Amino acid sequence: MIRKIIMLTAAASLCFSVTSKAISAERTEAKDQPQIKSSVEISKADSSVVSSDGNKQDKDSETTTLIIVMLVILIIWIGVSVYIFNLDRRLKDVEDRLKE
Amino acid sequence: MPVSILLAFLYAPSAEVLGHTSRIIYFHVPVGWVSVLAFMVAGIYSILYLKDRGRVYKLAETKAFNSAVIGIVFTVLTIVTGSIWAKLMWGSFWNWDPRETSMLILLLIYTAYFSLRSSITDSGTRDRVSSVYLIFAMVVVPFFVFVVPRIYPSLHPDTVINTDRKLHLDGDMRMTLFTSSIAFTMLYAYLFIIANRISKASKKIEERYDS
Repeated sequence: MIRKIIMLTAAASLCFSVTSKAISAERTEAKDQPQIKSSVEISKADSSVVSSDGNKQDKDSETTTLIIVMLVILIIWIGVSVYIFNLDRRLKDVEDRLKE
Repeated sequence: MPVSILLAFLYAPSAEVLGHTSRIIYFHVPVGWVSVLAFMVAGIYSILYLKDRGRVYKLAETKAFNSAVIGIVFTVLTIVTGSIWAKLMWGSFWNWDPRETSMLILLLIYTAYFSLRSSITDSGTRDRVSSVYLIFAMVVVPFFVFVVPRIYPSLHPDTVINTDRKLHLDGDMRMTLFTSSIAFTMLYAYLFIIANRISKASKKIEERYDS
């Protein structure tokens, strides 16, 4: 059971690392390309508020949002892991009683 | 599960207005779906138990209990993840939105089930009473999850199942959501099977001691 948890956690962390690398690679490519307006920037243009570092702020908020999304996934994993640990403890009790 | 995570971050596009926060949908909705599924399965096993009192469907009441436990776990996760998304989108963790309130009521209903079950010492009475309670709870679940949020105006986005009978999701997002839903359903099935096997082994040991 614990081996399965470790394997699942390793798979999840691998996915996270691949995802974060892909996102950072996408950022690096986007820097070289001409700026494409996002929906947030379009809405800012409509309100006639233009900030000189608006693009940087948008990227920072995007990064924060992605981190929060990953946090949500982490919470789900933690919840499922807690339940699996609970099952593992019950299984150990059963094994101990069998040995008796 | 890793496939659904990869799809959610790399394949599915971010929504127009919601941005990257929309990626939470690929985890929050399946977790909510699994909680509803678990509660329905618990109700079905309760019906099977009351039908023959464990003669044919042995351990039906125990299976119902195991499914209810998984349902509670996923309900809590739904509420927690939903609160985080609510803070991002609506500015506060709790807004008394109909769907949020419905899930909270379900949590309270099933918490009461565990309290009821643990308060009865006689095993026969406990199994019967808790099975009846689960059946009533199962009847209530679709009402709270599918009907109430559609009656009252809600902060939640347009529902996947709606009056247009169309899925208001792009193809990429739809595929990612379905993949994630299937992954979480398989996870539920796995947890349910493991829990039942443990319960079966415990029961056998108890019977051995009794004999």
